[in-house]
Amino acid sequence: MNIFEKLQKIDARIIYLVVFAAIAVPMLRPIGLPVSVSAETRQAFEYIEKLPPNSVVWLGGDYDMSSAPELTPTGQAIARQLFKSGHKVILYSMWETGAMLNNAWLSAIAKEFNKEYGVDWVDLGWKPMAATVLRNMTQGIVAAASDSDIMGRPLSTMPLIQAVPQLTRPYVELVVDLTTGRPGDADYLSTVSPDADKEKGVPMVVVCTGISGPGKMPYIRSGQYKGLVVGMSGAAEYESLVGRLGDGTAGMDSQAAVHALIIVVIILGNVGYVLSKKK
Amino acid sequence: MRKELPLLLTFVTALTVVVFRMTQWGWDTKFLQTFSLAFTTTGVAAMFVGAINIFRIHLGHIRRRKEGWIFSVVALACLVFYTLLGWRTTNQGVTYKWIFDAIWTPINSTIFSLLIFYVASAAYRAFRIRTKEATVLLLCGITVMLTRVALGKMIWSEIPNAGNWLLRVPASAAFRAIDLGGYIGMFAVSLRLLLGLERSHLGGLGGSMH
Amino acid sequence: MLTPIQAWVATLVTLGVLSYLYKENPVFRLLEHVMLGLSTAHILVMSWHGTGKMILMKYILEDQKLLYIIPVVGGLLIYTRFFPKIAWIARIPMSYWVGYGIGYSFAYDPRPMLGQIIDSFIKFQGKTPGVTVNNILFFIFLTCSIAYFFFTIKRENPLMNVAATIGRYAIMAALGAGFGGTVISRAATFYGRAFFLLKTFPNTVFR
Repeated sequence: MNIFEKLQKIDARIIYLVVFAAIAVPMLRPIGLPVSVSAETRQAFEYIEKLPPNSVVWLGGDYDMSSAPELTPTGQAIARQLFKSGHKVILYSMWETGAMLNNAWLSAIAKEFNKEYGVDWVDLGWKPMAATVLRNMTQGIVAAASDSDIMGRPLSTMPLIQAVPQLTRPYVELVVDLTTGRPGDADYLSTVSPDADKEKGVPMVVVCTGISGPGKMPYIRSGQYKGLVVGMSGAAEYESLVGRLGDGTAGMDSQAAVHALIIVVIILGNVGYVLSKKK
Repeated sequence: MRKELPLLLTFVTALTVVVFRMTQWGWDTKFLQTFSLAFTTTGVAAMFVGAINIFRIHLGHIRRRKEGWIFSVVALACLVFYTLLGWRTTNQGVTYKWIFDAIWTPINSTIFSLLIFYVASAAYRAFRIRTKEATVLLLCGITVMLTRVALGKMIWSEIPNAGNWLLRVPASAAFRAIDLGGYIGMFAVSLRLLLGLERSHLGGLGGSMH
Repeated sequence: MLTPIQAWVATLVTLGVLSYLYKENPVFRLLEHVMLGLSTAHILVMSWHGTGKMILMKYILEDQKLLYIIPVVGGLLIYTRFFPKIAWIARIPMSYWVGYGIGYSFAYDPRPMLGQIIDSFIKFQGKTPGVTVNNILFFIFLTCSIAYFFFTIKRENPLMNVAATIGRYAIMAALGAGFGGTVISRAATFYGRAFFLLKTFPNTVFR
């Protein structure tokens, strides 16, 4: 049996160890590979930079723990960009598993910028039949959300919600959706965006995982999305634009190592296959 | 009547939503908001269905002393304890958050993170260039992977351009075609449900259905 | 920010789940069942505090908006599915939900698709020759990908055969891009856990 035939029969657990090493080693000994910004990420950044002063931005936190390493860094960078510019944020999560996660990081950033809850930001939390509640919010946020924020506090008493009765323009200037699947950006696109209502529809910027990134390119091309930030690489790109490097950038060395490993194993597997076929 | 009434209800509900959403006068009445609020309220009232199902299944395991029944005891105990705790202290309660951060989040994240190992193992054992199409798929996958990290530019300066072209032209076109095809299929199924030709949502609810 | 005890618990739990990579074992099964219980409980808690409490305590009991009782009763009918003799009644709320979903599907979902279709009728002429070529190629790939799924005209037709072949390769390119994206996503997910094990845990516990 030659080396390639032996490699074909290798125990899967050895491959797992190599994958772990590919992620762990660059984390412990960073290389500092450069990050180049894609056109779609730059579009997203510039759209948010050019928002009118004191805009209200709707942040959709539609993901859970599994996508947090990819989406939370971008969410944090965008939240910092928004609070720094004096904009206000309303957070709504359509995934019940992500609602508390999103609340945790947005609260921390709001505290960093001395933002007051109820005035500068509000967290609507998660509601059952979340996508339907979202549709209703275009007609009235308080009624749709059953007048409760994430902890059950009355929304009708909060100045920010009093100023933003509906999820439409002119009350909300932009929707930034951190999404990993459904419910997610497709629901915003069909019910909240200018596709749903030409006059009052709210434009969208989408932050998505690497898996769904290629599938969203047609929407950037058609202009239905004003910007697209994809995965951890998008997070690193956005952090470089905002000027504050974070978890997104830190993970890129490990990403590069894993990508290289996957390519090597594919090539090795196919070389072994071709050689064993020739025999 | 037991089949006709639900089918009629499906039809009337769907028609109501369409008429009140797509006509200006209907939208202005804000009836849809009330209708949708009723929809959400029914959903909230039904929130225990999943929990009851879990209880039925795992109580069955415990009663029959099925292999691993002790784990069913653990699952049900966690469910009851965490629900009562959360109802009492809200999701921002100290103990609730402690368990969420120390136990629930790590388990959830780690279970999903196992997938990279299986992707690597599958890439090694199963990803074979047997046909021209598989070769195209592999080359495009490798190019996109290299585009997303600095490695691509280090190997050859044109890789990022190639990867971006792949994403913006052929992949984008194909995904649009797939989305359109998927939407047409979904439209066809919705039409079948509306007209009562599809009745799968009425069956399989347990017990004898007439 | 985790406390040292939380960090220890989280690390043990993470290693317990990762032990599945070695082989299936009772520790993993235990953690799996713990997650099942906690996840279900979490949904109940979020539903109650997010919506249920306001509807029941405030709207119905405090404000006496008794009309809310109608949808509450409607939703409660789903529980008849657990009683065989009256299980048919559960079809009523189910039909309402399905009808509602269909209605919204007809009312809302066509619009983004129309946006996609309208954008497909693009002007080929672009600002640069490169953009023009890309626009032409995009249109060709799009029509050929649609032709791939079109079975009314048989593939023996030479035009259809060529179009479907080009479409097939375009779809392979898309799926390859999707595979690349999957690797990116899954690597990032594990990166988060590895970061916790190798950086967060030692920093929390040992410093």
